[in-house]
Amino acid sequence: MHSPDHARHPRRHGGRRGFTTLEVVAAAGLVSAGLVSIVPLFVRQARLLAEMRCERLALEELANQAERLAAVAPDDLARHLADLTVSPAVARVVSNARLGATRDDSPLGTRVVFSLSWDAPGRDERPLTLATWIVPASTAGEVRP
Amino acid sequence: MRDATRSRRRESARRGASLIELLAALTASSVVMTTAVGLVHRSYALECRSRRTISGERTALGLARAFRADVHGAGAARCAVAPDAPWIVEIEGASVRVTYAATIHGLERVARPVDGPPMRELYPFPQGTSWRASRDGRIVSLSANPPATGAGGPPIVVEVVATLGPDAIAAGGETP
Repeated sequence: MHSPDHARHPRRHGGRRGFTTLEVVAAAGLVSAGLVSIVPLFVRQARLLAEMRCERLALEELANQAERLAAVAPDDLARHLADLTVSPAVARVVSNARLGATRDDSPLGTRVVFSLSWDAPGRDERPLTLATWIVPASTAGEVRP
Repeated sequence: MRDATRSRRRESARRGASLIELLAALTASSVVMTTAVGLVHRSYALECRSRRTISGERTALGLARAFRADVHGAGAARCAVAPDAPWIVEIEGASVRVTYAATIHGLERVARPVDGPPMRELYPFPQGTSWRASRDGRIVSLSANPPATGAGGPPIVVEVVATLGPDAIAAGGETP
């Protein structure tokens, strides 16, 4: 009794039945490269989180400055705007925070725009701003048709 | 018969992998597996951290909004001095009295309307956060000092300033 020819010579008839070492190592290298390429995404995500945190603090700082402005007497406004400083709690987290304000007087009242920039890409050209109005006491609460 | 035996031996010799090949393949697989497991672990940790950070920042924003709204509508505000005071700031409105008290879970805001049951709202913050309220004229400030050891995320900084109306009484520095 003879076994069939293809059973005796599986390589010849069944083709390749495995992978060479070179193929396995090449595949592993490709998969590793793919996995490692994900790492920059983690870094980017961590940076985005930090940036979000800074933006929230900066926004709160601007709102706090606007609140403080409401308690300033009209005669002291110029001096107050010249002496603006970032609060220590925010300065500790937001690196090199720079606070400024511009004043624009109009018949409706005084418009003050606070701006805050810090060391982050694009923040110098595009600082965070918050505008607030100081309505003269004589027109405050007056309702016009 | 001898030819058949030799041929079979030659075939069986080519059918398996050598020890070197096996070791190389195992090493390559181990590297890939280790990298994959490390990345999955890292992504889970980062996801938890992000979720915690975003939640904390959102809580801080909500607290700032509520505190400012309470102070703007208030007729008087009192800040506690004693560290064991039941609240850290008390805000008296026309029809509601609001207190902010530090608990182990965070900051609790209790609004007690003149006609109605009290409404409680908790702003969760990490355990160990110390709170401080102060008053300077019409300006009322609320700040949080995060614990030294963060619970797996950056500390949440809270610094809220709100100004009472011009006619409000800022009676500060009183311990209840």
